Amino acid sequence: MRLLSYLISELKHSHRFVLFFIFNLCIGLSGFIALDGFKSSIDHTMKKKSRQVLGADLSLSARRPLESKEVDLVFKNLPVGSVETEVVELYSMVQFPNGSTRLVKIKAVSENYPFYGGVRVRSHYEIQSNFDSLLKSNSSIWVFSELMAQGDLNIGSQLKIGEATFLVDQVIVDDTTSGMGASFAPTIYMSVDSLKKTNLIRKGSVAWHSRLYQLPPSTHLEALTESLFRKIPSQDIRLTTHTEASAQVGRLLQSLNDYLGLAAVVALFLAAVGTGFLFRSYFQRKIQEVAILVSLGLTKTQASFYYFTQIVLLGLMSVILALILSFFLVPMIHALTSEFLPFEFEYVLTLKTVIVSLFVGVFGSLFICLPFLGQLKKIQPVVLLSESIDLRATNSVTSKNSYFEYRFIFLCLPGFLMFWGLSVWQASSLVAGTVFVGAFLSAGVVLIVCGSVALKLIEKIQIRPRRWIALQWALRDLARERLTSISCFLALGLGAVLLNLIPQVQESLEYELSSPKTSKLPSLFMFDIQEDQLAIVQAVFDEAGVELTQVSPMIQSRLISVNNEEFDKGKGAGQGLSREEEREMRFRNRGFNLSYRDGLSESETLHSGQPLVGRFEESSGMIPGISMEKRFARRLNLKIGDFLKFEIEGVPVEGKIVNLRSVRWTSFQPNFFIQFQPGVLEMAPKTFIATSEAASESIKVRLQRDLVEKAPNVSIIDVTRLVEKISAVVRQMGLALQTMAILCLISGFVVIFSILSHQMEKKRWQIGLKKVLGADYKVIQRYIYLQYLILAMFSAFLGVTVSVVFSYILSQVLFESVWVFSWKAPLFSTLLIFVITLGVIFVSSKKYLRQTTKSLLNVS
Amino acid sequence: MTFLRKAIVIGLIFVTPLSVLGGAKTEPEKTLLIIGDSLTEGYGVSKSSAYPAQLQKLFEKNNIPIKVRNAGSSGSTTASLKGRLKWHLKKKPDYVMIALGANDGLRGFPIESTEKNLSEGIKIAMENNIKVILAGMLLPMNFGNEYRAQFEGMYKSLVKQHDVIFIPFLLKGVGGVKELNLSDGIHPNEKGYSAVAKTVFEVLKGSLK
Repeated sequence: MRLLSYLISELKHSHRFVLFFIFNLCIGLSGFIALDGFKSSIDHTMKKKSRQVLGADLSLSARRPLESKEVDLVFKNLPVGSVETEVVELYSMVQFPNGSTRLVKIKAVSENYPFYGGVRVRSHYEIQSNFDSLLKSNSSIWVFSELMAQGDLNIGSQLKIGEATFLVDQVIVDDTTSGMGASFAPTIYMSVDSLKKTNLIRKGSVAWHSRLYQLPPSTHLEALTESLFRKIPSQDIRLTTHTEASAQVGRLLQSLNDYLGLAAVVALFLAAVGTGFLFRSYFQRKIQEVAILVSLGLTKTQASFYYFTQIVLLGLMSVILALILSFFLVPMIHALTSEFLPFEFEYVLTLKTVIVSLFVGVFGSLFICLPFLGQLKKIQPVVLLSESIDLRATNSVTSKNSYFEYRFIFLCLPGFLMFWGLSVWQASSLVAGTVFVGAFLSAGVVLIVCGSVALKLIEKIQIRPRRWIALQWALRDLARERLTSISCFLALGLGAVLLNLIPQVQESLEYELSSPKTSKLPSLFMFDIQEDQLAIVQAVFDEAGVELTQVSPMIQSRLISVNNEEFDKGKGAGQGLSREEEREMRFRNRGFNLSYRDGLSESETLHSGQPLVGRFEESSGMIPGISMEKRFARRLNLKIGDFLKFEIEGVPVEGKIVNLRSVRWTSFQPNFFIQFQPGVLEMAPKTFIATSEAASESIKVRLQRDLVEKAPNVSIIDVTRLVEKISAVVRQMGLALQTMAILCLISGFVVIFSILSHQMEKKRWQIGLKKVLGADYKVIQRYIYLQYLILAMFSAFLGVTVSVVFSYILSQVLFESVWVFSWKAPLFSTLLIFVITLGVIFVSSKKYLRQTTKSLLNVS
Repeated sequence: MTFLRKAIVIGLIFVTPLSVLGGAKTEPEKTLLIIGDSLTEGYGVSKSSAYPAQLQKLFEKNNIPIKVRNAGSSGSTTASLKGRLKWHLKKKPDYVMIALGANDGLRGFPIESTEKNLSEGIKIAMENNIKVILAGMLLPMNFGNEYRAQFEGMYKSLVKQHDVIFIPFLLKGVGGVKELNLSDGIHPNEKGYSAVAKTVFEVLKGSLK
């Protein structure tokens, strides 16, 4: 109890330290909570969206009617409270009132459909999930608006499907279940009972037969799917979770999630850097006090307990404050972002986030301070006889230095493990989390080495002229207070690394998400254009006044060998393969679409190797060059220099991979995984794909009609809705990236402010001493400015440089994105540190220089 | 040594008459080009399991001196036939088997345009003295009786017009049989392709001379 009251009075006396410690940790934790909350919110919203795409939590489907024993087996293994509905999807021909026919996708639904999402019909603005009127009628159908235009239909028009005739009851203008996919044909909704009337489902029909399930909210979907997979004997049955159903933009969302996780960890790392620095300085000052207490009979265990309690108390106060702050901060972000977001966004502060924050705040601060507390063991009363309070002074009185160094490293381990665990958890990847922590540690080592070398050089600098006395003092102090200088340099440097890291990574991700500036988003996508139809298609578009763009050749081929060895096709089919194995085998055995282009398009970036230059000449005796998309190359285990042999309709074609390139798929431009050098494939049988820019609905209908008449094989897909949906998600992600970068900047600002303010606080005594010795006010001021500006700017410059390398590694390993150097981010970070340094020195030096020498010297 | 010499002599006695009797090596090898879609290309299985490769083995087994060239291209429609034929005319085959039309049907193309494309392709081949084999396809039941009948009738009409060798249904005994198809229910697996090769072989063994 006596110890506790001493502890409280001690904290009262060190109010500046307490304030900085709590402020620093609180801001870091608030950043972490807000970022983690934001991440959870995005995850929550996206899960909700993905449920809307599937219309359910889980689906069971096959390209054949599901047997009742299969359906029963699955339903029996679902949690109590699960609900099911039946859906059948198929392609068929529909006959318009004028007798013409058209391919359509029929979606037959039954009671309870859909569990999530729904359709928006022309007469209602809201998405509706009520299909009652469709289900009750045996003759009604709901039709996509495209089909209405194609068949010149109205509400009440008759359509013949199979052996039955139906009346158009509603026009669908939006469908959440169409997700991010584009379909060959417009959809018609009808009931499962109505479908029976058509007689389209019988032996020899090809249709997707599905059961959709709504599960209780507490269901662990992954575990359930895993166990169901093992129980279903048939290989041709597919189980799809809602997350898989909306995987089209999965990689982009994953990148955003990883980025948010990274930003959350960065906020914590920043807080850890600041906390560690502050505590180290505080603890150094306390060594003499501890030595007194030890000489008075305090045991080392009691001393350790005393400081542990102090840190836990401070950590707890920081978390409580951070949580209170977050309750204001998170809704504030919500209010800020909801105006811009393309769809409703729900913010959640989960219990998990709160618990993790409590753990990180209390144990994290303990772990950060543990290495310093470990030095309690080597504090002896003899320290009281030493002039220096530096821990190095204690080293001189003990012969166990190396033991304590090892002990210091050992005591760093819990903190390291905690942050490593947090990084892995936030990045959802062992490799990515490890790379992040590894890169961070490497950054620390680089900073320490560079700082030590710089201080050694500074030591050798001789400044003679009297008028440069301020510079002389500044450099001498930096060199003499070596450990303090390095720890301050390390803290500021790491602060700069983290501060610059997030905007730098953000730049790369935003580049990947954005569409090339000069490209216009496509509205229509055409494929299967034959070489002799190019002129016809061009004429159709010219007549409609729409520009045909991105006309690209496409050649079907088969990869035969790699480096003269037969390409590994995987195991043979029908050999008892799992679903995943069969999927992989189909991927490896599928045809490869080749193309050729002179140079890179604006949506492509050369990742490694040499660009494809010029046209290939057979007489050159060289091997044609191939450019390959980097992720595709990795999946096939191919690299630069590999010699590939393709077969195009039985004719062999050879080439060598000369470069790997990244493709920004968000450009929505035709891009190919494999591009040949021009001069190789021009004569091969090929088709063309092309896009066109936005056109009005009436023009689109006209184009479709004209193409059906003049080039019926040319398929035209309206991707407007798809492009809009993906663009909306991308816009949202861009905004999330910017918001997070700002939050991290605020955390970084606070940490750097804390470090410098604390450092200035330590300077009080020296300022007082210099005043006693008769130094001029201006010289002292110049000396302080010079010392801290040198320290801050050097650490900022080095930190920012290390950070650029760090961001490159993260872009490659974690995000697999194109790395874009942003000069704005490093410049801004350096400027920010410069301004903070100037501001802190200005305020502090003015304050201290005005104080009396007595009051300045009063503080140890 | 004596035993080895005897063995070689006996071996020669058995081997020599076989090659003479078979006469396969003496007859010049002819080429059969199969222009098709994913079913010909062998979507989802290795090239050696696709039906053209299995047909080659059947020819070899039955001493029919024909070399099969697989010109299958996934997703291709009959519109590509003319262009592809022109490409292959550079190394003119003796026979061409046209196995196209499935994708036209599945994408709901007008029957007239599919028929026109196939007819033009057949004409080009015939003008170049290439014997034509037409592989017919049937559409799944979900495409409705009317369209299916028109589609089926189109092949029959082409056979009548051009007097070509006809395989009524390429996927005979395979289409719709779960054990013979991949899980997509459309493309045959290795066993399925074996059956397809046999179907083709049965029609061709007597027709290609």
